[in-house]
Amino acid sequence: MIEIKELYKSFDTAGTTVHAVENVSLDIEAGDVYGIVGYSGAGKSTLVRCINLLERPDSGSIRVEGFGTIRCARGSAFCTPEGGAEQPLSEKQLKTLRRDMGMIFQHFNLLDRSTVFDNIAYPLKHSGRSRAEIKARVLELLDLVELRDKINAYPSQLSGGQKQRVAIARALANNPRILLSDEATSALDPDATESILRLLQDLNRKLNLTIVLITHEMAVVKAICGKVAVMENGRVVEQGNVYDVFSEPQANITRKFVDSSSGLGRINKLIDQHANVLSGGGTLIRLTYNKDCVGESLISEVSRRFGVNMNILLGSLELLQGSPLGGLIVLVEGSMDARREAIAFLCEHNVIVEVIEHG
Amino acid sequence: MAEWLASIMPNVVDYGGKFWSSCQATMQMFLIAGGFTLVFGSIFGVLLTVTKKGGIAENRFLYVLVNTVTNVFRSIPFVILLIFLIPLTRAIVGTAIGVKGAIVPLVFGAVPFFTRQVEAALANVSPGKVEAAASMGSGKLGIIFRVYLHEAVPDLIRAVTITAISLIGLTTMAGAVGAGGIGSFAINYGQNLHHQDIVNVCVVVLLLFVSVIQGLGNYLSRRTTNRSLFQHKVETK
Repeated sequence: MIEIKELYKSFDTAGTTVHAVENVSLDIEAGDVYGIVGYSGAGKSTLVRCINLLERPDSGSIRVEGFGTIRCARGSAFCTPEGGAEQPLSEKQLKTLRRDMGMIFQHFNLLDRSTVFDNIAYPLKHSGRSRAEIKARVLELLDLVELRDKINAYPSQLSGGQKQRVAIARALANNPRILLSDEATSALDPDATESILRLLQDLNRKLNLTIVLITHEMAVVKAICGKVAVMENGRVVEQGNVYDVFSEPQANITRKFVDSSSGLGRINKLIDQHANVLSGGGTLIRLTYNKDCVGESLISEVSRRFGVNMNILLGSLELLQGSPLGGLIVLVEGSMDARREAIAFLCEHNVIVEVIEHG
Repeated sequence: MAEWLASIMPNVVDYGGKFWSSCQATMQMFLIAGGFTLVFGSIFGVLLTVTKKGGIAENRFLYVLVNTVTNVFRSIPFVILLIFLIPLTRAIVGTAIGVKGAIVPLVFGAVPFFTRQVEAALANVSPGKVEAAASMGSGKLGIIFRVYLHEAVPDLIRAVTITAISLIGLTTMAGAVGAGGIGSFAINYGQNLHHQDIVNVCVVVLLLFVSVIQGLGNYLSRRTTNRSLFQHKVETK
C-alpha cells in the first residue's frame, strides 16, 4: 500500500542540522495497522508527515498504491503516476494524494468556530458535491463514529474522545484508503483512548482501512497494531510483526519500550536502588516465553529436576494479537552447576533466557 | 428643553449648524478611511502571515518588504505623517485639505496599525488547524479563508475595534491641519474662542462614539468565540 524507500529529511535550526528522518525504508501493506513507536524527537512525526508531504523529504521515494510514486531529490518532488511517466509533482496531484489519506492529530485540530457538521463537511465542500450529498455523507460518517446527536455542537462542547471521533469522521470524509494517526490518543484519558482504539480497529476491519499509527505508548501498539517499526534518532532500528518484536526485542530501545509496558523493567529499578535482591547469592535471570511454551509448567520442572530454588520476583503475561506472551524475572538459587544446567534446560524449551546479574 | 440646553451650553447651540456638520465630517473621514484600512490592513496582515518563515506561502522578499514598510509608517508620529504626505495626497486626490485631503494620511496612519493587529490575530490560529486543512487537500486560498480568517474572527473583531478607536483619534488630529471635523471644531470654536462648553460637548460626543464601538466590538467578539455568529442547525431527520 505504502512503500517508503531510503527517505531522508533534515532541518536546519540555529546553525545545526537535525536529521529527523535518516534512511528510512518501510513497507506498509494494505489493511495493516502499522505502528511507529519511539520517544519524542525520534522523528516519527516527521516520517508520517513525509507520507502525505506535509513535510517535503530531502530525498527518497514513496510509492502509494493506486496513486503512483513520489520521488524527492534536492528539495524538488516528482511524481510518477501509475502507468505514466515521471513529471514534477503538481499542486493538483498533491491534493489528490492528500485526499486519499486522512490524518488525525493529538490535539484534534478541529475548527472551533464550526459545528460538528461543518467540521466534517469541510473536506467535502468545494468539490462539486450538492448540499444534499454533503449532508447525507456527513450523517453517514456521524453514524460511523456514533455521534449523530452532536451534529450541531461546537468542539468546545465535546469531550476529548468525542473531538477525536469528529476528527476521524472528517479524515474519512473523502473515503481515503489510508489513515495517518499522529499520537491520536496521547491527549485522551484511558477510557477515551480505549474507545478510540476500538473505533480504529473497527474501521480497519470494516473499511479495510490501512492505518499508520504513531505513538510513544507501547500499550497502543499492543492493543491494535499488527506490525511495528521502532524509531530512534531518525532511524528505524527494528521492524516486523508486533509479536516477534515484542517477544524477541533486539535493539536496546525496543527492550526499554517492552519492559516499560510489561512492568518487568521494574527489576532494573530494584537493582539500581540496591534492594537486597541478590544478598543470598543466586543468579537473576529473565525468562521470556512465547505462545509455544506458555502452557508448560517449566518452573516447577526445572526446580525438581536440578534441585534449584526458583524465586519468582516479577511476572507478566499478556495477549498480543491473540497470542500469549509471558515474562518472568526469576532468582535461581543453588550450586553453580545446577544453575547452569537449569538455564540450559530452559533454553532447550524455547524459553529466551537472559542473565541479568550473578550474585 | 431647548432653553435648558441653551443654558448649559449656549455656544454649542449658537454654533449648532457648524457642530452638526463637524460631526458629519468626522463620520465621513472615519467611514471612508476605515473602509480602506480594513481592506488594505487585512491584505497586508494576511500577506505577512502566509509569507513569513514557515508560512503556507513562504516568500522572504515579500515578507521583508511588507514588514519594513509597515514598521516605517508605524514609527512616524501621525502629525508628522500628515505634513509629510501632503505632496502625495495632492497627487492622489488633488487637494490636501478638507475631508478629502485627510483620507490619504488617515489610511497611511491606520493601515500599518491594523496590519499588525491582523497579523497578531492570525498568529493565534493554531498551526495544527492549518496543518489539518492542508492534510485534507486545502490549497493556499482555502487555508486563508476557511481556516485563518474563519477561526480568527473574534480576534479580528477586537482588532477592528481597537483600530476604529485609534482612527477616531487620528481624525481629530487631522482636523488640526484643516481637515474639519470634531477635532477642528473643538480647537477653532472651543479653544480659540474660549467656549469651554464646546470643548466639553466634543469630549462627550467622542466618548459616546468610542463607547459604542467598544461595546459593540466586545459583544460581537464574545458572540463569535468558539461559535459562528449565526448558527444554522442541521436537522438529522
